[in-house]
Amino acid sequence: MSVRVFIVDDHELFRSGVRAELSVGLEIVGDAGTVDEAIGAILATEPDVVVLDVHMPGGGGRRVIEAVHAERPRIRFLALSVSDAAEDVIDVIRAGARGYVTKSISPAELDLAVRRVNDGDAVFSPRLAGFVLDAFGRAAPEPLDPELDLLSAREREVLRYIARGYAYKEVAHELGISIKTVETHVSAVLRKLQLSSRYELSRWAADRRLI
Amino acid sequence: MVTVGGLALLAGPWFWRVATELMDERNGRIRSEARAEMAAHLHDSVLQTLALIQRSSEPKEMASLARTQERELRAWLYSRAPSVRGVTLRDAIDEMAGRVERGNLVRVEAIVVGDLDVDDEGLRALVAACSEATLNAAKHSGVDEVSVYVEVEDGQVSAFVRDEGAGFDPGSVPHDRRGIADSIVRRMELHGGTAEIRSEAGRGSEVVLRLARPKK
Repeated sequence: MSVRVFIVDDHELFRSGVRAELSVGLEIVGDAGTVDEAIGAILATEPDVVVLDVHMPGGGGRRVIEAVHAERPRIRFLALSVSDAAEDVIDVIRAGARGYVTKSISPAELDLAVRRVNDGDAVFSPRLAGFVLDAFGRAAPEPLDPELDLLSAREREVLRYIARGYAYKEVAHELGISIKTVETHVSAVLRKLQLSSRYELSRWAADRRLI
Repeated sequence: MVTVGGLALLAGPWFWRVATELMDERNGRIRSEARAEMAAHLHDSVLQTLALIQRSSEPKEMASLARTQERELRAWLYSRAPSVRGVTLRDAIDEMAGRVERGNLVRVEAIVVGDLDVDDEGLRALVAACSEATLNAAKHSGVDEVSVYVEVEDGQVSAFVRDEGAGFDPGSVPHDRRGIADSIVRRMELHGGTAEIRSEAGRGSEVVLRLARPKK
């Protein structure tokens, strides 16, 4: 059964480009250029995966995810963006996206990323891995909740390889573990990112600006 | 006393109005200055690049122009306040990545975790060695993407330069590449650091640089 995909981006040229690239191996069930249009059409078409832009007028990708998840929590989201501001990216992940890739991604990699998100795995681009290492890197003097706020040594190691440009398969090879285990680690990081204290992350964002 | 109080009562609203008008005027001026500055910046950068792209007939060159412009615009949009003590490691690596991209028609994905000021010879050597390694990958790997990852930890700074290109056997390196490898290794060792070259023919290559730093 092919994966049913919906595309949300306020740039029409980009939307049709992604549509053409993904329609080679996936089923595109619709696209939308505004937040409100997207929410209605996604609820109506019930795709498996929504590929969406982080930045959009009217609340951005975050509002689409929140509105859809309130009604259909099983629909999965992959953020696709040119945005480089770490706070925006972390924000859309915390809203519930299962991955973040930049718009410079190749068609084949984007196809793989959509499939991975559809399988319930997390998709970390090197840039997202870098943002997360930066966010959790500085050990808090007194972590509010050590279970959620800190990455394990293994998770950190996996993220480092991803930031260095290694694909999941290569990370698995380097660490002598299975790809499935790499995916498990990355999903755990995603969960921690979504559940970690807002306090910790906002302090990190403030620190970044100060440096 | 009564007169003073009465005057204050009469003049109070007037003072308030004048102060508000002055503030409004000041805010308006700041806004229009910000707009003028943005227009000037976009004119000098983005519009010029778009014009160049329209004149270009080579897809690779177009991509290179677009990449350079993208990096510059990003740096401008998300710029952090410049360090008062000089160049930060993040800025130095970004600058280096942009330079290699422009000169070699490749994409350099540079990610920096943590940051500090490049304020001694050791860190300058690390940036220079990282630059050599990136240039080397851009020129010899045969692929059009190079990954650079730099991480600042308490007590150590590491840099990883990786490509998924042709690779080579570090034991039997051709002469032209040996020179570069040596300059990377020697440069790092001179400042108490290390450089490790990991590569296999056909399986890409990665240069790993490490420099110890005093713990805080």
